[in-house]
Amino acid sequence: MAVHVLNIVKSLQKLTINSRCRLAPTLHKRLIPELPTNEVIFANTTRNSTNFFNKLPAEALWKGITSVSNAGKKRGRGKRVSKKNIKDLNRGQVIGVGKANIVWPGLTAPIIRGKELVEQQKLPEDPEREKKLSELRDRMGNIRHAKLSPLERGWSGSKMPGRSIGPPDPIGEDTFDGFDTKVLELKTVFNMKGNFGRKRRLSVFVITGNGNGLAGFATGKGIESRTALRKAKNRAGQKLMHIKVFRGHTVFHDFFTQFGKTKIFVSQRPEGHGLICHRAIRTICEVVGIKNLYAKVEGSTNVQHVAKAFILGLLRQRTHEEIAEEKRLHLVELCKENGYFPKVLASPTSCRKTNELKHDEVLDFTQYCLDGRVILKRKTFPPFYTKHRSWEIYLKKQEKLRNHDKVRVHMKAEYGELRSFLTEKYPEARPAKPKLKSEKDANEEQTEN
Amino acid sequence: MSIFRNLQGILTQIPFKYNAIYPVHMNACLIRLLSYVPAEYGPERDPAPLYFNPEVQSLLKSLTRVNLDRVFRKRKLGDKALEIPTYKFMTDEQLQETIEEAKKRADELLQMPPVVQVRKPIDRIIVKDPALQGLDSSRHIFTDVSFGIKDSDRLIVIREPDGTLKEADWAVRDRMNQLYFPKPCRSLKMPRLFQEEYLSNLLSHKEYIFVLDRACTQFEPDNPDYQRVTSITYQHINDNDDFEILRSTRHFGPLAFYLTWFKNIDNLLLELIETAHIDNANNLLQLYGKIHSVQYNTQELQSLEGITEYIKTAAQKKGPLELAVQAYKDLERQRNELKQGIQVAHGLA
Amino acid sequence: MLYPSSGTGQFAANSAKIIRFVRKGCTNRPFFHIVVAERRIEQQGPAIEQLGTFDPMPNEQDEKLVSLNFERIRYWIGNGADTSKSVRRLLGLAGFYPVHPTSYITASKNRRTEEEAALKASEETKPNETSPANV
Repeated sequence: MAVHVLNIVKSLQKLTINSRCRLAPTLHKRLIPELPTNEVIFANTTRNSTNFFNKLPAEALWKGITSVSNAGKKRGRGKRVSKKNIKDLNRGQVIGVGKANIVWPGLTAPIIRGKELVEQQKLPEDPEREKKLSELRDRMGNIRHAKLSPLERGWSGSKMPGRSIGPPDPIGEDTFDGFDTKVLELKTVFNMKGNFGRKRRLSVFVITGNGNGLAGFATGKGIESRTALRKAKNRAGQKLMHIKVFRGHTVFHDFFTQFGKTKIFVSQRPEGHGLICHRAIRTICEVVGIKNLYAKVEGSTNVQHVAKAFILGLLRQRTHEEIAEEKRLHLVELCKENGYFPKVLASPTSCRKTNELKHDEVLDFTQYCLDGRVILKRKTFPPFYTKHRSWEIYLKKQEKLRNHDKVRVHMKAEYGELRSFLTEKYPEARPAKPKLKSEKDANEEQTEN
Repeated sequence: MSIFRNLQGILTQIPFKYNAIYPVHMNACLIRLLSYVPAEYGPERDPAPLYFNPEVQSLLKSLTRVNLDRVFRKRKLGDKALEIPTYKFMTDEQLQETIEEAKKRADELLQMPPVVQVRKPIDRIIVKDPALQGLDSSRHIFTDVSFGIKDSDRLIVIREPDGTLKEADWAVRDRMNQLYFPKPCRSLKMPRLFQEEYLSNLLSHKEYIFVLDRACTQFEPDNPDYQRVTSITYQHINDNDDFEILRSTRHFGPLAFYLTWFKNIDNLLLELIETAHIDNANNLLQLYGKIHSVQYNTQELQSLEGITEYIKTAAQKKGPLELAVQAYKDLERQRNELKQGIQVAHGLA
Repeated sequence: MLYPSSGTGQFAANSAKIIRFVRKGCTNRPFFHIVVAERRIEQQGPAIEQLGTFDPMPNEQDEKLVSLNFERIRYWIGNGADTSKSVRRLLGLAGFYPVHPTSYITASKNRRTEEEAALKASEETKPNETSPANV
């Protein structure tokens, strides 16, 4: 019987490339009392002593995996190679220390301790070793940037544009209380020096304001970003302008403004609407103290041009008194939530009579504020799929479901759950309850056990 | 149900009588427990012909004191987003015209909810057919949904399981009308806010306008539930002297009418004298005279004659009212003295 | 193509018309529209006009709700429209038509079966009631 088993083992060992198969020692241990010699097993040595792994030194192997030659890169090789994927498995490993916690005198322990000879012995396994190793390996490769809190983030993650950099530095005793500065643009610029060649600097465009109609913008340059930001911030503090804000939340009237190729149409919005516009305009509005507005940028969206055009427009706003005086007519506001009761915003010193109005005069307030310009509004067409046959089928199927959500809400209001007066009669017709997460986990654990 | 209502009707007359005897004590008791006994316009006397009388209407309107800013106050309309306001250039004439239009709209907004008698129960059997017994275990309700029929005139009949064909009672009528011809903001079942415990909570937060507006949308004016809710609200307002909250709204007229109808105008009169609205106080007494066919000398709107007459004869809170009248007289005298003094100082007198 | 449930208002000249039920609702929840339609057209086809509704499932207050546009029903019957038997039964219960004979027949049948069942039940319970007294 034993001989038969041995034959099988032998043939298996021939099949495996690595002769030090795990099967062998276990068998070997059991077979020792039966077999006088163990040569039968170990006689089967490896045929090929040189292979890919022991022909090259570790360094060369490592390099082969983690980098691409210049020539290879040109041919487009190694595109998936990145430092993220590379993990040094040797890190944290020490010769002589392994899964089996064995004391090797001379390698991991001194040979003589005191007067006694240290013996090779097996200690109980360290369960934390594996965990530590895997933790070390997990940490490798992914370099993490410092994460900003959502309140501190700019337009795009931890990039500077959109981020707040605090008030300008005080000048003497004058402090900028309540001011805040926001970066609108941060870019690298170069210029050529006669003896130096290309000189690289950072250019920063910032806006500062107190959120209450006082704001200023400026650019600053510096080799380091910090100096550039400081310069820009302090320069902006020196160039404050007063901007009129209607009722503390929006612009006085719709207006058109242009700077270079950037054209902006700005329109007033009621409270609760928010800032629906280009992100640079939004940031400016936040700093100035405008809370509700809609703006459409046409043409170039160069940030500096957008900012300049918008601020130009804000400065050119006219108050309602000015408009009423200019027109020599009352300016009246009609609001839905006030029941369209005429509220006089501004009255001129002397009002015109109805027969004094010219027949070709612009009497529409928006038209007047836009200087007779008309905003092109595209017609919205129904989406393409409404012409498909499948849409009709879909509508037909939805017909039955059209009131389901309302019924559901009603039931919840009435009974606190999805049930009706028929539930008591038909208890089996209760809707399946979605399982809670904690319940789900508990169930899974039970099945595993 | 009808028996219960009759019982309630009897009960309603009691608290006011008690009020007359122990005015202060009874009021304190009512406020603490928040348990008002609703008083409805019962079958004994119909308030509608008096209420819709143009003279009474104009009296109620002058008591309401129309203030356009309050009528067109900012309202939450339940829209997802506010509408963009429109701006217009206007000449003087155009402005006047729009203000006039707004005043007309204000009249519409201030149109007072009708005050009518509680409806009589319906129990008219059309035919009894015992041979149909056992046809069905549940009753059939037939509603005529022909076009252009008023809700009140709609034919709604019930075939009972025992074969009787009869006209539907009010509860079923309301339900069927709302089911087949839904009115906005009206729900099929009575919302919980009109239940006693929730209602008292709302009233203690002084949400009178909300409660009354909601009652107007939910109920017909002759519905006993409507009269219950409004009467409790009015009593609460009266006891807490919150008349100012309802001024310039459409509910002030019915409130004044209710208080006058049930001879409980002392608090309102006191408030009017204290705020020096003697003309309004005289209007109120005119209304009182019209409803209870009494004559007070209220021809001169600024005189105190009628008021003193009322205090002597009919008032329940004589002490506070007399004090208030005295305080008003003193104030008037001081004002006159000041005026004369100023004129003397200017060398006019 | 989805037809409006209120009806298309279109029909062939001199075609036979009938006032009948159309099953709406969904699986296990019947709901009927009472419509006037051309007799030759299938149940779910386009109706000429909707004349009412019928909910055969009792509601919370144990009522079966029927709505009928009597003005238009009168018009269509006057124009020679026929009525289906179930609609005739419903109109009979509403008091618009005389009560349909089958209504009486079903009612009496139901009563009889009920009485028989009651009799059976009382017979079954009687020996049970007497037995403990004997013991």
